Amino acid sequence: MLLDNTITELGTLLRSKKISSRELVEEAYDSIEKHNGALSAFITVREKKDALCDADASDASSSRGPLAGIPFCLKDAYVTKDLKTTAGSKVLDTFVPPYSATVVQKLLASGAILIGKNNMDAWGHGATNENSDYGPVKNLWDTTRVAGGSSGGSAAAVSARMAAFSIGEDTGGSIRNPASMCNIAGLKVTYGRVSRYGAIAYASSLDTVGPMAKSVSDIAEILEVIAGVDPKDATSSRREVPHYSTLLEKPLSGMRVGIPKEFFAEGLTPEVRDIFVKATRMLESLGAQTLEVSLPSLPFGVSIYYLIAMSETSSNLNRYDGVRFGNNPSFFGEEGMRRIIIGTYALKAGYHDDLYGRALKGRTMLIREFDALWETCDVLLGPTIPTLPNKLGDLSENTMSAYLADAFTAPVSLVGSPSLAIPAGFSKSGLPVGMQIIGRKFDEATILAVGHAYQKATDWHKKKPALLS
Amino acid sequence: MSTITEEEVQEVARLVGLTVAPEKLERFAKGITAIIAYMEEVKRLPVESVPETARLTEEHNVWREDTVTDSLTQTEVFQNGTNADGYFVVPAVLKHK
Repeated sequence: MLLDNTITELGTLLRSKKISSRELVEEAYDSIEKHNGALSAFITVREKKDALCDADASDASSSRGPLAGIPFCLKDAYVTKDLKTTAGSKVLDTFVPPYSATVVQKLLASGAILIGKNNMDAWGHGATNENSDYGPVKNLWDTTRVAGGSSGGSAAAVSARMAAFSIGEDTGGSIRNPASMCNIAGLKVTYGRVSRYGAIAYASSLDTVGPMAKSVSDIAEILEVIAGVDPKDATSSRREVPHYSTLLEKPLSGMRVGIPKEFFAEGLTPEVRDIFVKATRMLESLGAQTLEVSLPSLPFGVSIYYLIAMSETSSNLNRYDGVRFGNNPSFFGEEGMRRIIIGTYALKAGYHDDLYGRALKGRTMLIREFDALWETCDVLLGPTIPTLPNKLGDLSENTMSAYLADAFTAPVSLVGSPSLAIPAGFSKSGLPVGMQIIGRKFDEATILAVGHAYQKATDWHKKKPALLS
Repeated sequence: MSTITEEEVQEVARLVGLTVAPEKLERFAKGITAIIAYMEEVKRLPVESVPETARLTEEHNVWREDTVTDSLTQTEVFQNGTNADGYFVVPAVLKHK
């Protein structure tokens, strides 16, 4: 399929007129027609004729940036002018935004073609995409299993060739988790690297906007376009944006890769551990120096994360009163209500210091522990999720075990570091397993280079599920 | 270890304008108790002399020029809500006899 190619390859084919953007968009809609019924990757798909119109305009245009003519989709957490935006919740079922998020504006200005809005756990609350008010997203490697979350629809869409890339959103693992469950790459950027203006907020000190695509080289191309300061997001960083796509070929020899021993805790599924260990051996054979390191507060990561995230979301979701837009609060789903109630409780007078306050202090401890590791390490490596993709409905009875899926991703979010999730292998039953490469703040270039080197030496990321044959 | 009662759940919900359906209350209270019980492990962290970190951004006090810039039109602002002579209609807060 044309959409099996990388964005760089597609760009070359488009510029030399060997293919047209129209053909790419036709292929995307073809995949949607064939597979979206089974996967539920989209909440809203644009009218095909509108997307084709954009594609034709792109084909006729002479200006050709790297994303020009490339079909993409967006997690439904990003407001799109005149196109329904729901954040996966029936509270916003009637909401048609009057403006577009900065990341959307940047991508449309680059010439990329919008296909639709991806299914997600409502408000970003979830790690399996079973908390969507629009139905769960299925894993195309095994449709009885979840696609991961909360950017499950984005991961499913990219892996099913319904677009060349999607923009997901990662607060505690919501890009990395579904990327690893669906065998694609997903980048959680440094907090502040990409503008959050127009991103429906879950937890404002944790939310990040990031690309999801089939390869690390694709991620680099997209990041270059979407990163950068935005006057409309006062938390966005004024640091210069490197030309990430030109920095991928950094050799691995001498790269110091720290592996926190706390990742190998009780909850880690043996198959996931084995795949991860094989991946570290591969990196060593490419010249990396691995060393065991420690993050003593890692086991507290889930509690620290959820106390902060739920407190922040209880504040952020207050605005959905149905007065200026959307439906009234009786439309909130159970998980949303649960998090708002717990967050409010954790902030209440009498409980605030013991719960929310202590979590903020625990966060400082984690930051100090990560900072100490950068003396001896260039990057850190770990599994993305402790388990394999679970069966739909498996985790519905026990919310706490659902939250534990974030054990490895949430601590990275708490400190603000970037982390790249890439495919690392398959279980005996053919389920994808990923790993995450964690970097210093604003050092996306190094983690992308490590990921790129790994992908040149392996082909996990090129595998396609039986469903697509 | 704290137990969150059904009354407490309903009271906290009321504070933020939510209502938990009566048939869900018991399950909510049990579930929330279990979650808070797990998260209370943060009380064991040795953080007495550690400062809080609420923000991750390096930026602070980001200013802009005090000039009029583009904004949404009134039509755009009201396209998702009810417009009564340029005002949003809100549910009554004060009840009169």
